[in-house]
Amino acid sequence: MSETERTDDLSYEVFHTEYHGPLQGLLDASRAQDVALSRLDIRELINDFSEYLRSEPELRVNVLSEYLLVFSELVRIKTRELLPGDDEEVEETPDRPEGSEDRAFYERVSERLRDHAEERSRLYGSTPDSLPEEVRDGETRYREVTLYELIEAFRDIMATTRDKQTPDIEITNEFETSDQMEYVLDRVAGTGPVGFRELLSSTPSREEIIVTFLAILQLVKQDDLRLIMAVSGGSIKVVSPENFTPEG
Amino acid sequence: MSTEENVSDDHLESLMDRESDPKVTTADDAGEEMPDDLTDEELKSYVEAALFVSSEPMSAADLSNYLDRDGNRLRELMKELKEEYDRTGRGFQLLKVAGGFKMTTRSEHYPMLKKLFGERTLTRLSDPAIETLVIVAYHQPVTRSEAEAIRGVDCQSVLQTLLEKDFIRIGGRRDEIGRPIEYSTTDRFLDYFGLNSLNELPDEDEIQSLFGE
Repeated sequence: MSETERTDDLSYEVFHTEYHGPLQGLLDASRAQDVALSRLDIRELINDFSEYLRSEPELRVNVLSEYLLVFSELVRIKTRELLPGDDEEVEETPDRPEGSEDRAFYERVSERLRDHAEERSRLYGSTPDSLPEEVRDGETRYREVTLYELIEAFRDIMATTRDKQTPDIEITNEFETSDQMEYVLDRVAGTGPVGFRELLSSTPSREEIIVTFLAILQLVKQDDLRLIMAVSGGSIKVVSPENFTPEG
Repeated sequence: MSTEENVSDDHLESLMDRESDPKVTTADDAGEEMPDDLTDEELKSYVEAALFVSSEPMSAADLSNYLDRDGNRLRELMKELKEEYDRTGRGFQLLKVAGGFKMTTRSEHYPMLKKLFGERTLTRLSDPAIETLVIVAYHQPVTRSEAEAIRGVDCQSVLQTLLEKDFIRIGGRRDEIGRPIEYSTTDRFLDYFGLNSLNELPDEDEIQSLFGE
Protein backbone atom coordinates (compact mmCIF):
# COMPACT_ATOMS: atom_id res chain seq x y z
CA MET A 1 0.00 0.00 0.00
CA SER A 2 1.18 3.47 -0.65
CA GLU A 3 1.23 6.28 1.83
CA THR A 4 1.70 9.96 1.50
CA GLU A 5 3.95 12.24 3.46
CA ARG A 6 3.85 15.97 3.69
CA THR A 7 7.14 17.79 3.84
CA ASP A 8 7.99 21.41 4.49
CA ASP A 9 8.51 22.39 0.85
CA LEU A 10 5.19 20.84 -0.15
CA SER A 11 6.88 18.18 -2.21
CA TYR A 12 4.75 15.08 -2.25
CA GLU A 13 6.30 11.74 -1.42
CA VAL A 14 5.11 8.33 -2.39
CA PHE A 15 5.57 5.26 -0.23
CA HIS A 16 4.92 2.14 -2.23
CA THR A 17 6.38 -1.33 -2.24
CA GLU A 18 7.76 -0.60 -5.70
CA TYR A 19 8.91 2.96 -5.08
CA HIS A 20 9.65 5.40 -2.27
CA GLY A 21 10.40 9.03 -2.98
CA PRO A 22 9.08 12.19 -4.59
CA LEU A 23 6.39 11.84 -7.24
CA GLN A 24 8.53 13.61 -9.81
CA GLY A 25 11.24 11.05 -9.10
CA LEU A 26 8.75 8.26 -9.81
CA LEU A 27 8.08 9.77 -13.20
CA ASP A 28 11.78 9.97 -14.01
CA ALA A 29 12.33 6.40 -12.83
CA SER A 30 9.39 5.21 -14.91
CA ARG A 31 10.74 6.87 -18.02
CA ALA A 32 14.09 5.22 -17.37
CA GLN A 33 12.27 1.90 -16.75
CA ASP A 34 13.85 1.67 -13.29
CA VAL A 35 10.43 1.06 -11.76
CA ALA A 36 8.03 -1.71 -12.75
CA LEU A 37 5.06 0.51 -13.55
CA SER A 38 3.04 -2.62 -14.26
CA ARG A 39 3.10 -3.36 -10.55
CA LEU A 40 2.07 0.15 -9.55
CA ASP A 41 -1.59 0.89 -9.04
CA ILE A 42 -1.87 4.45 -10.33
CA ARG A 43 -5.45 4.70 -9.13
CA GLU A 44 -4.21 4.06 -5.62
CA LEU A 45 -1.56 6.76 -5.97
CA ILE A 46 -4.17 9.23 -7.18
CA ASN A 47 -6.48 8.40 -4.28
CA ASP A 48 -3.65 8.98 -1.84
CA PHE A 49 -2.82 12.24 -3.52
CA SER A 50 -6.46 13.36 -3.32
CA GLU A 51 -6.41 12.72 0.42
CA TYR A 52 -3.24 14.71 0.68
CA LEU A 53 -4.89 17.62 -1.15
CA ARG A 54 -7.90 17.51 1.14
CA SER A 55 -5.62 17.77 4.14
CA GLU A 56 -4.16 21.00 2.80
CA PRO A 57 -5.60 24.24 4.25
CA GLU A 58 -5.94 25.76 0.77
CA LEU A 59 -5.83 24.53 -2.79
CA ARG A 60 -2.78 25.63 -4.72
CA VAL A 61 -3.77 25.43 -8.36
CA ASN A 62 -0.24 25.67 -9.70
CA VAL A 63 0.90 22.76 -7.52
CA LEU A 64 -2.16 20.70 -8.40
CA SER A 65 -1.73 21.27 -12.14
CA GLU A 66 1.89 20.18 -11.93
CA TYR A 67 0.90 16.94 -10.23
CA LEU A 68 -1.90 16.36 -12.72
CA LEU A 69 0.69 16.51 -15.50
CA VAL A 70 2.85 14.00 -13.67
CA PHE A 71 -0.03 11.58 -13.15
CA SER A 72 -1.23 11.87 -16.74
CA GLU A 73 2.29 11.14 -17.96
CA LEU A 74 2.45 8.07 -15.67
CA VAL A 75 -0.87 6.86 -17.08
CA ARG A 76 0.43 7.39 -20.61
CA ILE A 77 3.61 5.41 -19.96
CA LYS A 78 1.70 2.59 -18.27
CA THR A 79 -0.86 2.45 -21.09
CA ARG A 80 1.93 2.05 -23.62
CA GLU A 81 3.39 -0.77 -21.55
CA LEU A 82 0.06 -2.54 -21.54
CA LEU A 83 -0.25 -2.50 -25.30
CA PRO A 84 0.42 -5.91 -26.85
CA GLY A 85 4.06 -6.62 -27.46
CA ASP A 86 5.53 -8.21 -30.58
CA ASP A 87 4.66 -11.66 -29.29
CA GLU A 88 0.95 -10.86 -29.10
CA GLU A 89 -0.08 -10.22 -32.63
CA VAL A 90 -2.73 -7.64 -33.28
CA GLU A 91 -5.54 -8.89 -35.46
CA GLU A 92 -5.06 -7.50 -38.92
CA THR A 93 -6.59 -8.28 -42.22
CA PRO A 94 -3.96 -10.15 -44.22
CA ASP A 95 -2.58 -8.58 -47.34
CA ARG A 96 -4.42 -9.87 -50.30
CA PRO A 97 -2.04 -12.03 -52.26
CA GLU A 98 -1.33 -11.67 -55.95
CA GLY A 99 -4.13 -13.18 -57.97
CA SER A 100 -6.55 -12.83 -55.08
CA GLU A 101 -9.37 -12.34 -57.55
CA ASP A 102 -8.62 -15.76 -58.94
CA ARG A 103 -11.00 -18.39 -57.61
CA ALA A 104 -8.38 -21.12 -58.05
CA PHE A 105 -6.28 -19.48 -55.36
CA TYR A 106 -9.10 -19.76 -52.84
CA GLU A 107 -9.77 -23.37 -53.76
CA ARG A 108 -6.15 -24.16 -52.94
CA VAL A 109 -6.19 -22.19 -49.71
CA SER A 110 -9.38 -24.06 -48.79
CA GLU A 111 -7.59 -27.34 -49.38
CA ARG A 112 -4.69 -26.19 -47.21
CA LEU A 113 -7.02 -25.06 -44.43
CA ARG A 114 -8.78 -28.41 -44.48
CA ASP A 115 -5.43 -29.93 -43.50
CA HIS A 116 -5.14 -27.36 -40.70
CA ALA A 117 -8.62 -28.27 -39.46
CA GLU A 118 -7.73 -31.96 -39.62
CA GLU A 119 -4.63 -31.37 -37.47
CA ARG A 120 -6.59 -29.19 -35.09
CA SER A 121 -9.28 -31.86 -34.74
CA ARG A 122 -6.68 -34.21 -33.24
CA LEU A 123 -6.38 -31.99 -30.17
CA TYR A 124 -9.00 -32.44 -27.49
CA GLY A 125 -9.85 -29.44 -25.34
CA SER A 126 -11.50 -28.94 -22.02
CA THR A 127 -15.25 -28.45 -21.87
CA PRO A 128 -16.72 -26.98 -18.72
CA ASP A 129 -19.34 -29.27 -17.25
CA SER A 130 -21.32 -26.18 -16.31
CA LEU A 131 -22.52 -25.85 -19.89
CA PRO A 132 -26.29 -26.00 -20.18
CA GLU A 133 -27.85 -29.16 -21.53
CA GLU A 134 -27.09 -29.62 -25.19
CA VAL A 135 -29.12 -31.11 -27.94
CA ARG A 136 -28.01 -32.06 -31.40
CA ASP A 137 -29.42 -31.33 -34.80
CA GLY A 138 -27.22 -32.77 -37.49
CA GLU A 139 -24.02 -30.78 -37.39
CA THR A 140 -25.13 -27.85 -35.24
CA ARG A 141 -24.94 -28.35 -31.48
CA TYR A 142 -27.69 -26.66 -29.50
CA ARG A 143 -28.25 -25.81 -25.89
CA GLU A 144 -31.25 -24.71 -23.84
CA VAL A 145 -31.92 -20.98 -23.76
CA THR A 146 -31.98 -19.22 -20.41
CA LEU A 147 -34.85 -16.97 -19.42
CA TYR A 148 -32.44 -14.04 -19.44
CA GLU A 149 -31.50 -14.73 -23.07
CA LEU A 150 -35.13 -15.03 -24.04
CA ILE A 151 -35.99 -11.69 -22.49
CA GLU A 152 -32.97 -10.14 -24.15
CA ALA A 153 -34.14 -11.45 -27.54
CA PHE A 154 -37.62 -10.09 -26.88
CA ARG A 155 -36.23 -6.67 -26.00
CA ASP A 156 -34.04 -6.81 -29.07
CA ILE A 157 -36.99 -7.43 -31.37
CA MET A 158 -39.05 -4.76 -29.65
CA ALA A 159 -36.20 -2.28 -29.99
CA THR A 160 -35.95 -2.83 -33.72
CA THR A 161 -39.62 -2.08 -34.25
CA ARG A 162 -39.97 0.81 -31.82
CA ASP A 163 -39.16 3.56 -34.28
CA LYS A 164 -41.50 2.26 -36.91
CA GLN A 165 -44.55 2.27 -34.68
CA THR A 166 -46.79 5.01 -33.46
CA PRO A 167 -46.18 5.83 -29.78
CA ASP A 168 -49.51 4.37 -28.69
CA ILE A 169 -50.03 0.69 -29.10
CA GLU A 170 -53.33 0.12 -30.73
CA ILE A 171 -54.88 -3.11 -29.52
CA THR A 172 -56.74 -4.45 -32.50
CA ASN A 173 -57.35 -7.97 -31.22
CA GLU A 174 -55.95 -9.07 -34.55
CA PHE A 175 -53.73 -11.45 -32.60
CA GLU A 176 -55.10 -13.75 -29.95
CA THR A 177 -52.67 -15.73 -27.80
CA SER A 178 -54.52 -18.97 -28.43
CA ASP A 179 -54.43 -18.44 -32.22
CA GLN A 180 -50.76 -17.58 -32.07
CA MET A 181 -50.04 -20.72 -30.01
CA GLU A 182 -51.72 -22.78 -32.69
CA TYR A 183 -49.75 -20.99 -35.39
CA VAL A 184 -46.42 -21.58 -33.62
CA LEU A 185 -47.18 -25.28 -33.15
CA ASP A 186 -48.04 -25.57 -36.86
CA ARG A 187 -44.77 -23.90 -37.80
CA VAL A 188 -42.57 -26.24 -35.76
CA ALA A 189 -44.51 -29.44 -36.49
CA GLY A 190 -42.44 -31.98 -38.40
CA THR A 191 -39.52 -29.65 -38.98
CA GLY A 192 -36.25 -28.64 -37.37
CA PRO A 193 -35.57 -25.54 -35.34
CA VAL A 194 -37.36 -22.38 -36.47
CA GLY A 195 -35.92 -18.95 -35.72
CA PHE A 196 -37.77 -16.81 -33.20
CA ARG A 197 -37.95 -14.01 -35.75
CA GLU A 198 -39.24 -16.32 -38.45
CA LEU A 199 -42.44 -16.71 -36.47
CA LEU A 200 -43.18 -13.04 -37.06
CA SER A 201 -44.24 -11.29 -40.21
CA SER A 202 -41.60 -9.23 -42.02
CA THR A 203 -42.80 -5.98 -40.42
CA PRO A 204 -44.38 -7.11 -37.17
CA SER A 205 -46.45 -4.77 -35.04
CA ARG A 206 -45.63 -4.53 -31.33
CA GLU A 207 -48.91 -6.27 -30.62
CA GLU A 208 -47.88 -9.20 -32.82
CA ILE A 209 -44.50 -9.47 -31.07
CA ILE A 210 -46.01 -9.37 -27.57
CA VAL A 211 -48.73 -11.90 -28.35
CA THR A 212 -46.24 -14.26 -30.06
CA PHE A 213 -43.91 -13.98 -27.09
CA LEU A 214 -46.74 -14.81 -24.68
CA ALA A 215 -47.78 -17.73 -26.88
CA ILE A 216 -44.23 -19.11 -26.81
CA LEU A 217 -44.02 -18.76 -23.03
CA GLN A 218 -47.31 -20.60 -22.63
CA LEU A 219 -46.20 -23.41 -24.96
CA VAL A 220 -42.89 -23.78 -23.13
CA LYS A 221 -44.77 -23.92 -19.84
CA GLN A 222 -47.02 -26.65 -21.26
CA ASP A 223 -43.90 -28.50 -22.44
CA ASP A 224 -45.10 -28.28 -26.04
CA LEU A 225 -42.13 -26.24 -27.18
CA ARG A 226 -38.44 -25.93 -26.46
CA LEU A 227 -36.22 -22.91 -26.85
CA ILE A 228 -32.71 -23.59 -28.05
CA MET A 229 -29.67 -21.78 -29.35
CA ALA A 230 -26.55 -23.02 -31.14
CA VAL A 231 -23.72 -23.58 -28.66
CA SER A 232 -21.61 -21.31 -30.84
CA GLY A 233 -24.18 -18.52 -30.45
CA GLY A 234 -26.62 -16.98 -32.87
CA SER A 235 -30.35 -16.51 -32.74
CA ILE A 236 -32.90 -18.22 -30.51
CA LYS A 237 -34.90 -20.97 -32.16
CA VAL A 238 -38.02 -22.84 -31.20
CA VAL A 239 -38.43 -26.53 -31.75
CA SER A 240 -40.98 -29.21 -31.09
CA PRO A 241 -39.89 -31.52 -28.22
CA GLU A 242 -40.51 -34.58 -30.44
CA ASN A 243 -37.94 -33.42 -32.94
CA PHE A 244 -35.16 -33.00 -30.43
CA THR A 245 -33.87 -35.25 -27.74
CA PRO A 246 -31.43 -33.92 -25.18
CA GLU A 247 -28.03 -35.53 -25.30
CA GLY A 248 -27.04 -37.94 -22.59
CA MET B 1 -36.25 -15.59 -43.56
CA SER B 2 -34.80 -12.17 -43.17
CA THR B 3 -32.94 -10.73 -46.10
CA GLU B 4 -30.17 -8.16 -45.92
CA GLU B 5 -32.55 -5.42 -47.01
CA ASN B 6 -35.01 -5.79 -44.15
CA VAL B 7 -32.44 -6.08 -41.36
CA SER B 8 -32.91 -2.85 -39.45
CA ASP B 9 -29.91 -0.81 -38.31
CA ASP B 10 -30.90 -1.30 -34.66
CA HIS B 11 -30.96 -5.04 -35.03
CA LEU B 12 -27.71 -4.93 -36.93
CA GLU B 13 -26.11 -3.00 -34.10
CA SER B 14 -27.29 -5.55 -31.58
CA LEU B 15 -25.79 -8.33 -33.71
CA MET B 16 -22.50 -6.44 -33.91
CA ASP B 17 -22.50 -5.85 -30.15
CA ARG B 18 -22.64 -9.56 -29.38
CA GLU B 19 -19.05 -10.04 -30.43
CA SER B 20 -17.84 -7.32 -28.09
CA ASP B 21 -19.83 -8.45 -25.09
CA PRO B 22 -17.80 -11.24 -23.56
CA LYS B 23 -19.84 -11.10 -20.31
CA VAL B 24 -16.68 -11.40 -18.25
CA THR B 25 -17.33 -11.80 -14.57
CA THR B 26 -14.70 -10.31 -12.34
CA ALA B 27 -13.46 -11.78 -9.11
CA ASP B 28 -15.25 -8.94 -7.30
CA ASP B 29 -18.55 -9.90 -8.96
CA ALA B 30 -18.21 -13.38 -7.60
CA GLY B 31 -17.94 -11.92 -4.13
CA GLU B 32 -14.62 -13.64 -3.53
CA GLU B 33 -11.65 -11.41 -3.99
CA MET B 34 -8.26 -12.85 -4.77
CA PRO B 35 -5.51 -11.94 -2.33
CA ASP B 36 -3.51 -8.92 -3.49
CA ASP B 37 -0.12 -10.29 -2.55
CA LEU B 38 0.00 -13.46 -4.62
CA THR B 39 3.42 -14.66 -5.61
CA ASP B 40 4.04 -15.42 -9.27
CA GLU B 41 3.75 -19.14 -8.58
CA GLU B 42 0.43 -18.67 -6.81
CA LEU B 43 -0.93 -16.43 -9.52
CA LYS B 44 0.25 -18.94 -12.09
CA SER B 45 -1.96 -21.58 -10.51
CA TYR B 46 -4.97 -19.25 -10.87
CA VAL B 47 -4.07 -18.75 -14.53
CA GLU B 48 -3.73 -22.48 -15.00
CA ALA B 49 -7.14 -23.10 -13.43
CA ALA B 50 -8.80 -20.52 -15.67
CA LEU B 51 -7.19 -21.99 -18.79
CA PHE B 52 -8.18 -25.50 -17.72
CA VAL B 53 -11.86 -24.62 -17.43
CA SER B 54 -12.17 -22.26 -20.39
CA SER B 55 -13.45 -23.80 -23.58
CA GLU B 56 -12.41 -20.70 -25.50
CA PRO B 57 -8.89 -19.39 -26.07
CA MET B 58 -7.97 -16.86 -23.37
CA SER B 59 -5.62 -13.97 -23.91
CA ALA B 60 -3.69 -12.09 -21.25
CA ALA B 61 -6.22 -9.28 -21.67
CA ASP B 62 -9.14 -11.67 -21.02
CA LEU B 63 -7.45 -12.97 -17.90
CA SER B 64 -6.54 -9.48 -16.81
CA ASN B 65 -10.25 -8.60 -16.80
CA TYR B 66 -11.11 -11.72 -14.87
CA LEU B 67 -8.28 -11.77 -12.35
CA ASP B 68 -7.86 -8.00 -12.10
CA ARG B 69 -4.11 -8.35 -12.50
CA ASP B 70 -1.62 -6.68 -14.79
CA GLY B 71 -1.79 -7.99 -18.36
CA ASN B 72 1.97 -8.06 -18.91
CA ARG B 73 2.54 -10.12 -15.78
CA LEU B 74 -0.19 -12.58 -16.81
CA ARG B 75 1.24 -12.83 -20.32
CA GLU B 76 4.63 -13.76 -18.89
CA LEU B 77 3.07 -16.36 -16.59
CA MET B 78 1.14 -17.91 -19.49
CA LYS B 79 4.36 -18.16 -21.46
CA GLU B 80 6.08 -19.78 -18.49
CA LEU B 81 3.25 -22.28 -18.15
CA LYS B 82 3.48 -23.16 -21.84
CA GLU B 83 7.23 -23.67 -21.56
CA GLU B 84 6.83 -25.80 -18.44
CA TYR B 85 4.29 -28.07 -20.10
CA ASP B 86 6.51 -28.50 -23.15
CA ARG B 87 9.68 -29.01 -21.13
CA THR B 88 8.22 -31.57 -18.78
CA GLY B 89 6.29 -33.40 -21.51
CA ARG B 90 2.89 -33.12 -19.87
CA GLY B 91 -0.13 -34.78 -21.45
CA PHE B 92 -1.57 -31.40 -22.29
CA GLN B 93 -0.23 -28.23 -23.83
CA LEU B 94 -1.04 -24.58 -24.22
CA LEU B 95 -1.96 -24.02 -27.83
CA LYS B 96 -1.59 -20.47 -29.11
CA VAL B 97 -4.74 -19.96 -31.09
CA ALA B 98 -7.13 -17.11 -31.98
CA GLY B 99 -4.94 -14.58 -30.17
CA GLY B 100 -4.97 -16.45 -26.87
CA PHE B 101 -3.99 -19.69 -25.22
CA LYS B 102 -6.11 -22.81 -25.07
CA MET B 103 -5.36 -25.93 -23.07
CA THR B 104 -5.49 -28.98 -25.31
CA THR B 105 -4.13 -32.50 -25.46
CA ARG B 106 -1.15 -33.29 -27.67
CA SER B 107 -1.54 -34.68 -31.17
CA GLU B 108 0.56 -37.77 -30.35
CA HIS B 109 -2.08 -38.83 -27.82
CA TYR B 110 -4.89 -38.62 -30.35
CA PRO B 111 -5.07 -42.36 -31.24
CA MET B 112 -5.37 -43.33 -27.58
CA LEU B 113 -7.92 -40.60 -26.79
CA LYS B 114 -9.94 -41.46 -29.88
CA LYS B 115 -10.07 -45.07 -28.70
CA LEU B 116 -11.11 -44.01 -25.21
CA PHE B 117 -13.54 -41.19 -25.94
CA GLY B 118 -14.34 -41.43 -29.64
CA GLU B 119 -13.69 -38.85 -32.33
CA ARG B 120 -14.11 -35.19 -31.55
CA THR B 121 -17.42 -34.05 -32.93
CA LEU B 122 -16.54 -31.11 -35.11
CA THR B 123 -18.78 -28.89 -37.12
CA ARG B 124 -18.35 -30.08 -40.67
CA LEU B 125 -18.02 -27.43 -43.29
CA SER B 126 -18.87 -28.06 -46.93
CA ASP B 127 -16.44 -27.15 -49.70
CA PRO B 128 -18.49 -24.06 -50.71
CA ALA B 129 -18.62 -23.00 -47.07
CA ILE B 130 -14.84 -23.22 -46.62
CA GLU B 131 -14.20 -21.46 -49.90
CA THR B 132 -16.59 -18.64 -48.98
CA LEU B 133 -15.00 -18.44 -45.54
CA VAL B 134 -11.56 -18.11 -47.08
CA ILE B 135 -12.76 -15.31 -49.34
CA VAL B 136 -14.24 -13.49 -46.33
CA ALA B 137 -10.98 -13.98 -44.43
CA TYR B 138 -8.80 -12.44 -47.13
CA HIS B 139 -11.18 -9.65 -48.14
CA GLN B 140 -12.86 -8.71 -44.86
CA PRO B 141 -14.87 -6.70 -44.35
CA VAL B 142 -16.55 -8.06 -47.45
CA THR B 143 -20.07 -7.76 -48.81
CA ARG B 144 -22.12 -10.61 -50.18
CA SER B 145 -21.91 -9.29 -53.74
CA GLU B 146 -18.10 -9.06 -53.51
CA ALA B 147 -17.87 -12.67 -52.35
CA GLU B 148 -20.25 -13.72 -55.11
CA ALA B 149 -18.20 -11.85 -57.71
CA ILE B 150 -15.16 -13.97 -56.79
CA ARG B 151 -16.94 -17.30 -56.42
CA GLY B 152 -19.21 -16.73 -59.38
CA VAL B 153 -22.21 -18.20 -57.61
CA ASP B 154 -24.86 -17.10 -55.12
CA CYS B 155 -23.48 -17.03 -51.57
CA GLN B 156 -26.51 -16.00 -49.53
CA SER B 157 -27.32 -19.37 -47.97
CA VAL B 158 -23.66 -20.20 -47.37
CA LEU B 159 -23.11 -16.87 -45.61
CA GLN B 160 -26.23 -17.47 -43.53
CA THR B 161 -24.92 -20.89 -42.48
CA LEU B 162 -21.51 -19.48 -41.61
CA LEU B 163 -23.20 -16.78 -39.53
CA GLU B 164 -25.29 -19.35 -37.66
CA LYS B 165 -22.22 -21.46 -37.01
CA ASP B 166 -20.37 -18.42 -35.75
CA PHE B 167 -17.55 -18.58 -38.28
CA ILE B 168 -18.36 -15.10 -39.55
CA ARG B 169 -20.02 -12.08 -38.02
CA ILE B 170 -21.68 -8.95 -39.25
CA GLY B 171 -19.17 -6.15 -39.02
CA GLY B 172 -21.37 -3.27 -40.18
CA ARG B 173 -22.81 -1.77 -43.32
CA ARG B 174 -20.84 -0.48 -46.29
CA ASP B 175 -21.32 3.23 -46.83
CA GLU B 176 -22.54 2.96 -50.40
CA ILE B 177 -25.81 2.59 -52.32
CA GLY B 178 -28.03 -0.02 -50.69
CA ARG B 179 -25.79 -0.03 -47.58
CA PRO B 180 -24.94 -3.73 -47.94
CA ILE B 181 -23.89 -5.75 -44.89
CA GLU B 182 -20.19 -6.37 -44.38
CA TYR B 183 -18.94 -9.71 -43.06
CA SER B 184 -15.79 -10.54 -41.10
CA THR B 185 -14.40 -13.75 -39.65
CA THR B 186 -14.64 -14.58 -35.93
CA ASP B 187 -12.27 -16.11 -33.38
CA ARG B 188 -14.06 -19.39 -33.93
CA PHE B 189 -12.79 -19.37 -37.51
CA LEU B 190 -9.21 -19.06 -36.22
CA ASP B 191 -9.72 -21.72 -33.55
CA TYR B 192 -11.31 -24.18 -35.97
CA PHE B 193 -8.34 -24.00 -38.33
CA GLY B 194 -5.76 -23.76 -35.53
CA LEU B 195 -4.62 -20.28 -36.52
CA ASN B 196 -3.39 -17.71 -34.04
CA SER B 197 -4.15 -14.73 -36.25
CA LEU B 198 -5.21 -13.89 -39.78
CA ASN B 199 -1.56 -13.25 -40.58
CA GLU B 200 -1.05 -17.01 -40.51
CA LEU B 201 -3.27 -17.52 -43.54
CA PRO B 202 -1.16 -18.91 -46.37
CA ASP B 203 0.20 -16.41 -48.86
CA GLU B 204 0.66 -16.95 -52.55
CA ASP B 205 4.25 -18.24 -52.22
CA GLU B 206 3.20 -20.89 -49.72
CA ILE B 207 0.34 -22.00 -51.92
CA GLN B 208 2.60 -22.13 -54.96
CA SER B 209 5.23 -24.19 -53.17
CA LEU B 210 2.56 -26.57 -51.88
CA PHE B 211 0.86 -27.04 -55.20
CA GLY B 212 4.03 -27.05 -57.27
CA GLU B 213 3.57 -24.05 -59.52
